[in-house]
Amino acid sequence: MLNVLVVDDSVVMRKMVVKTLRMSGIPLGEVHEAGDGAEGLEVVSREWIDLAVIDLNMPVLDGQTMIERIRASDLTRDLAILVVSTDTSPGRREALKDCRVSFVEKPFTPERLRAEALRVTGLEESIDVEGSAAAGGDFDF
Amino acid sequence: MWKDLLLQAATSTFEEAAFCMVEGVGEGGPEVGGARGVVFFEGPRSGFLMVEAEPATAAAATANMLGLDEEPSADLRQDALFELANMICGHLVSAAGEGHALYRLSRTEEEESLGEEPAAEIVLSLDCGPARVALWLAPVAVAGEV
Repeated sequence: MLNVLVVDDSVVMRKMVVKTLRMSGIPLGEVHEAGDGAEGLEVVSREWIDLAVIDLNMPVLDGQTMIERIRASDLTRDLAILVVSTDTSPGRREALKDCRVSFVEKPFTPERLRAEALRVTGLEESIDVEGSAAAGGDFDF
Repeated sequence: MWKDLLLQAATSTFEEAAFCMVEGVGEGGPEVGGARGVVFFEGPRSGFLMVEAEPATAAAATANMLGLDEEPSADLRQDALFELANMICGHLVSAAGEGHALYRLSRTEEEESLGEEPAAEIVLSLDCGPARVALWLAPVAVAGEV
């Protein structure tokens, strides 16, 4: 079971990400949400998180700074991180190239979010999706 | 250039994120009243991008984004407009900078600059109702200018 943290200043976007992950066939444990990078770091410091889905442009503390702080801590440096943002440009990828993150561009398709979540958590081979909605684009919103 | 980029970014965002299909495009036309989401962007260029939609349009787009059967709350509708503006703006500045310039985007309630003539403006006729998308650009500083 994956414990997931979704960090985005948009409530709507957080709900979209959580709903998509729940429908994807990925076994989810606890799901936490945060509205900015500072809140996200606070959750990471007190909860066991397996996957963090992080936006970049946020108030208080932006996503890039949050990710850099996660990677700088011995306790969280290996956390699987998926950046879900409008900004997946070559310039941004270069800026985050040492942070071992995967990118999903907004707006995302359910299939793309699921595939990257599985890849970044290393679950690609172990999730049986046969016959599930996650198997081939049958996400029904 | 800006109008083409705005149209491209707005069309793809409404259709892919909110499943609202574009049926026509105008430059002004009837006023689109209702709620608005405004995003400030700064980087090589800075300015504002606004999405404005009537309550019914915003409600339909929000419900589509979240897969809701019931009427979304006013807070969710407002948040959805901000997020649509954020996505349109992100794609616009990325396309304008050819993907190499870094921009910072933030929501804003600051709307004083919106009274001026926008650099580009479109009104989309969506299958869920009309929406206005407008872009304001700050003047480019000239080298040597104080």
